[in-house]
Amino acid sequence: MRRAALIAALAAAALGAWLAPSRGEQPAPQVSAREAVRFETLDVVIDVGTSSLAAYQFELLASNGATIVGVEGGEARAYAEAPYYDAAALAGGRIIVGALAGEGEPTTGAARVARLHMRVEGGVAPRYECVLRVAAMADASPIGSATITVREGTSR
Amino acid sequence: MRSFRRGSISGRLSVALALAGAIALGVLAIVLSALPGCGGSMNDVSSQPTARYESAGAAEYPGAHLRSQSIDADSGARFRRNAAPASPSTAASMAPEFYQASQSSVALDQNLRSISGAMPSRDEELWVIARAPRSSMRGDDVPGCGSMLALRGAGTTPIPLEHTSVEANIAGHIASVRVVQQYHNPFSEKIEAVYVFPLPDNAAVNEFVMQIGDRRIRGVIREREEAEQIYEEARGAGHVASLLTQERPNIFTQKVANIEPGRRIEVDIRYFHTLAYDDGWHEWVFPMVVGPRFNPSRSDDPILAAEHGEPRASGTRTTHLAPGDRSGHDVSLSVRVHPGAEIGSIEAVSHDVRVERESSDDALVTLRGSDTIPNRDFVLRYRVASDTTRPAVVTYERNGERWFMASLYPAPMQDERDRLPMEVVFVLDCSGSMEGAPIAQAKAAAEAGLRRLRPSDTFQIIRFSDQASTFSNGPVAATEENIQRAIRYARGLHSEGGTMMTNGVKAALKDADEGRRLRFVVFLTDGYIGNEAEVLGLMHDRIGRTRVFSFGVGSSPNRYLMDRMAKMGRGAVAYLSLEDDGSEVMDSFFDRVTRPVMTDLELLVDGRPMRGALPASAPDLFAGRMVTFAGRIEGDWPADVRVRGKLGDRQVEIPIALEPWRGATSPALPAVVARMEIADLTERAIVSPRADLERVITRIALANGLMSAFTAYVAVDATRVTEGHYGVSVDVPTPTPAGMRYENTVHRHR
Repeated sequence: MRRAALIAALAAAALGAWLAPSRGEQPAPQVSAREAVRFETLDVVIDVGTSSLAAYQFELLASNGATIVGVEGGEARAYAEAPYYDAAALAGGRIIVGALAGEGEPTTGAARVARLHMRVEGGVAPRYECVLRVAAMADASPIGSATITVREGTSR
Repeated sequence: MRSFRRGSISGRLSVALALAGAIALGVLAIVLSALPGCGGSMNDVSSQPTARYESAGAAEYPGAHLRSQSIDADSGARFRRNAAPASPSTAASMAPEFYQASQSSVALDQNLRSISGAMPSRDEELWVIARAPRSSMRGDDVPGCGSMLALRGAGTTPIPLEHTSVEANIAGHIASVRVVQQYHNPFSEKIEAVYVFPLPDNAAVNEFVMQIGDRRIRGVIREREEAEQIYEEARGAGHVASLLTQERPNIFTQKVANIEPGRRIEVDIRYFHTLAYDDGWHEWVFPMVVGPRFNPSRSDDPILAAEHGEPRASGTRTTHLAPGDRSGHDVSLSVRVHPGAEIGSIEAVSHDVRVERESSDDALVTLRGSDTIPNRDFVLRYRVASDTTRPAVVTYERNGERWFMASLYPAPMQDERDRLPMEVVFVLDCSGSMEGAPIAQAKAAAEAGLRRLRPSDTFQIIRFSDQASTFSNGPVAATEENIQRAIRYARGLHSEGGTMMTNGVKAALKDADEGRRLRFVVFLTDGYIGNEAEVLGLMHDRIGRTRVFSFGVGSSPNRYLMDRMAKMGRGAVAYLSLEDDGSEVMDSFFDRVTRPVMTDLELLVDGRPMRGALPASAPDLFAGRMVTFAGRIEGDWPADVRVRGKLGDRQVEIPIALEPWRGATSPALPAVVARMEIADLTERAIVSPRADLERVITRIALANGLMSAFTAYVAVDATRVTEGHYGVSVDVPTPTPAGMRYENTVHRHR
């Protein structure tokens, strides 16, 4: 039985090699598009506890094949507008994003203030370092207890 | 094997099963190695399905009676409603590929319902945009399978661009402009929209936002190749994405990928630029259409022109609607004018507008609904009641960096000495694009110029199209007899053929005189060429002592070329629209430009020429014109800034008060100055190529978030992958510029 299985495997390999296109005509082995390049999102969440967030600025450094390809606003109406970024910083491989609360109430607690659209290349997981530079209330007083986290998302 | 030798039933069965499995594996290997795409390999266009004609399903299509006009598999076909229903026998008698398509008529029905919400009525038309079975497109441009269908109301051609809105704010000498392009997919399959459009050639484009529903995604500025790669990858992966690239300083391409049927995508572009000034009039221009360009056969970066419906090809091209075709794309436009001084007259010579005076120094100008077809430049002019003898200064300071811009107007201190004798060469563009009103304008202007000459002057007339020819063998004296002969000659000129402007430039810049006269060359042209760099380089090489004055003729001249020719030729530019009086424009022009007020201008800071001042080579200052200096200040604001130049034989200096604590300020200044720097570098590189030009411009553009020839904006929506293949690329066609003959230009370019 074991020999029969071995013969079957060898026969299958021979048959496949014989009937499939020759190696010279075969296209080069391709990594699937999903593995080579993919696009995914990175949500930026700022938690200000009981304070109300009227302005923010954060800095993100993306590495391991991740590139920023779009900057979108957050979930709250105050931060729905696409935030601005510092073009000079972008040229150096990092992005500095900032926004003032627009229409609507400034956010409290944890809220997604921005969504970054990323191009990710390669099979290695991208690496993100995000630093909150400014979190302030309407009177410009800093919110010292504010924290920032990022959440990766995939395309649906 | 022991069991096999023994011939036992179980052994033979085992082997049989193993072989069957092997065969199955082999078949699977074959299938996997030749996995088909859309009817075949993605690069094998010939195996793609042929055009489908949905009307073969008429019997299954109650109320939808269609008959074809001429079916051309290589272009779109239009179908009108027929009173009699198409019988199945009629359907069967059609070409096999058409009848074959009837299988999908039920799916078509559903698609149409999804687009229109109801069955087509008798007043509607169906457009089939069929992809050619064999295409000249590159492999990566191969569209999705099948055809696209669109419903339209009677009289309009479905295109992916519905509307463009323009909002401008003019504060002092700087305009900030927001342009929103509303794309829409009127077809039954996904598309990529491709739109080639103009902006002012000094526009500093520094914002780009893609809007999908309520969501706004701000694009990022990247090096051009990187941005293009990102866009192509996103498009291939099914993401909605947009890409903005620059083809010329005044021509841009917008691409929007994966627009699903019935969906809308908006692209929001913002830019700053400075206004033009001419004899007391400030002028703001918004160009609306790129005219069809002529490209000599050796052009390595042509701007092609195509008829709407022509198969797509690689490269940049404008696509034009045939006469009588309306696309439904319209424009809304509003301009707020706040010059910082009392507004005198304000007018828009090109369009029908409404002017509302908010106060003495504030006005709102709005395009009326009756005049929204984007087929000519919008030109707004206004006067201000201010002292234009003093320089106008704008400053800006940010994070310790400082910028300034100073605009210098000549005081009424013209040289009182009589002008020297001149040699004037009139160069008329007689190419096909000038036929009709444009060449009539040009001839009238030339005639007015001839009448201004004195007997001590000499002149020549050169006409060019495919070739150049002259009125006389050389310059002739401006006697009354010669003037009359020349006028008859000019009146007899007609337009036809291509636009080999290089031939006109070569002929015009042949200087046989010994320098006894001031030499002027006056170009009258619409500038519809694709080899601007070649023409400008040629001018620089042969300019000598000649001064060049360029007249941009028509409703949408190539202002980038006109401005650069004048600058290269140390002259001035003027524009002759279809609404202007050519004689008046030439008379005014002649009065001013034959007497430069100041020459050899340079900017001094604390007594020394300023390093990095823009422009690096200042033009001469003519009466009624303006010269603008700009730059970045190193260190503190200088106390002593002045412009030095020559007035006749005398050297004069004009002080400029940089007083940021009380003068005008503008946050747009960094972008405007960076844009001037890029333009300056580009112009100098035409005549003095530098190996690091791309690197230097890229660095400036990226640092300021600016569009340039080497940078581009890209935006990708990574949240969602749209279904199916990325679809067909559809060019957004535009009307030909008003006053231009389609048959002599777009149609001739085929």
